[in-house]
Amino acid sequence: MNICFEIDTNNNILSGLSYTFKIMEMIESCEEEEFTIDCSKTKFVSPAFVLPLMILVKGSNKNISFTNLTSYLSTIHFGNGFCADNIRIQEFRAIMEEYKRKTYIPIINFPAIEIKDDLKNNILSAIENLLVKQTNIEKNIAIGLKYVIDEYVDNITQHSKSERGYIFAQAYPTKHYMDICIGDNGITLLGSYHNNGNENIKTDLDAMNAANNGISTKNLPNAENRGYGIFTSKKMLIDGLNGDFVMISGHSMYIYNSIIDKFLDLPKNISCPGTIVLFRIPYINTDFNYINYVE
Amino acid sequence: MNNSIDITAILGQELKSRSYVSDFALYIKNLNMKDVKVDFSKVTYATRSFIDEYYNIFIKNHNTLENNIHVENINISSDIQAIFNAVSNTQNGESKKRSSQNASVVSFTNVDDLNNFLSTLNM
Repeated sequence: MNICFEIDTNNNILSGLSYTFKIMEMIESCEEEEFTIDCSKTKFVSPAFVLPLMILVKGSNKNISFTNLTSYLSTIHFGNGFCADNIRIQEFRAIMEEYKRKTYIPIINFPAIEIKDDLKNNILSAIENLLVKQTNIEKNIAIGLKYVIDEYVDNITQHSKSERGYIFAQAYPTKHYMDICIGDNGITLLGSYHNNGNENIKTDLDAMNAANNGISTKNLPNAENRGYGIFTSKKMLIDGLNGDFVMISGHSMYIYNSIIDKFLDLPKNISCPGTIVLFRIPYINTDFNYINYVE
Repeated sequence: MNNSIDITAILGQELKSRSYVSDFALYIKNLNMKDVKVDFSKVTYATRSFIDEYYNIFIKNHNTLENNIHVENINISSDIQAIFNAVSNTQNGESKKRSSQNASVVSFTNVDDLNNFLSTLNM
């Protein structure tokens, strides 16, 4: 079955997700097994569309492919991402230089397993440095940006059981913000709690609530002091930078900014096979100091 | 014998991953020294997760690693010290500040209703 949508996401960070949900609903509610998503009619697509769709497609039991990629979608390596560990880190840095004058990075497909932490961190540092160069942001914001990215990526390694992680970013210089999406194909938040012996958390919504209230998935004697990484990142993003935060895992979603604080129980035919986070990071607060938000 | 260890020479200037801490502890143990000074002067950045793990392995037990290796941390910048302080202040199961305890839950049975709801949110 061929699926062709006209995709034109607007400034609302949730707009891209709506298109993704619509496409996945169509696929999952159909009895056919083979699908081709025709991308020829995509106009403006945001990270909130691109990476969630890629991850949901990868996690689907259906056989789904993409065709007629636009120039932009090809450039960002839509489909599988740029596999950064198949080349030397120096070569990766050199390739990233090509993006220095652009407002986006390609979708980076990075190793998420602990044994490859060195490589993963080198890749992330190269990405973070590139984002700083692209946006010319001040050092105070740059450290906050690094902090938010690094805490979430380390969470993928620590909790998701996913071998791969993905990151994609697009800056909007005239609006002075950037959208960053990070995701994995792992065991979801609920799976992570269960994997660590926490059976009190029974649903995706329970898990989403627990993760965003600082309850660690690690069932360890010292685990009470875990769970602050996400808490601190959100505080930095929302209270410090006036940004937006969205998290999706399994059948649940969480939306948080200075005026919205909502958990969503998603329709049964929409399920995220791992965990996806979306950040909108404004980069104009010259008074921001990340250390004020570390708790 | 100089017992000062530049942590960045082993782990790099950016301390990002929890897993690095156990690697560093193994390195220290294999030095076969009873007193070690860990020099943070060249650290440019550390995540809270890294510092939390470091605190648990290197500091929590009276700055003593396995085999009674005493560790002194030196030249910690004010930013990194602030993260150490935050980690220290949240030990012993103290209650956490939770950002989303009053958040409401909205349930959806179909994508059209979900998307209509999302379109009403100002983000």
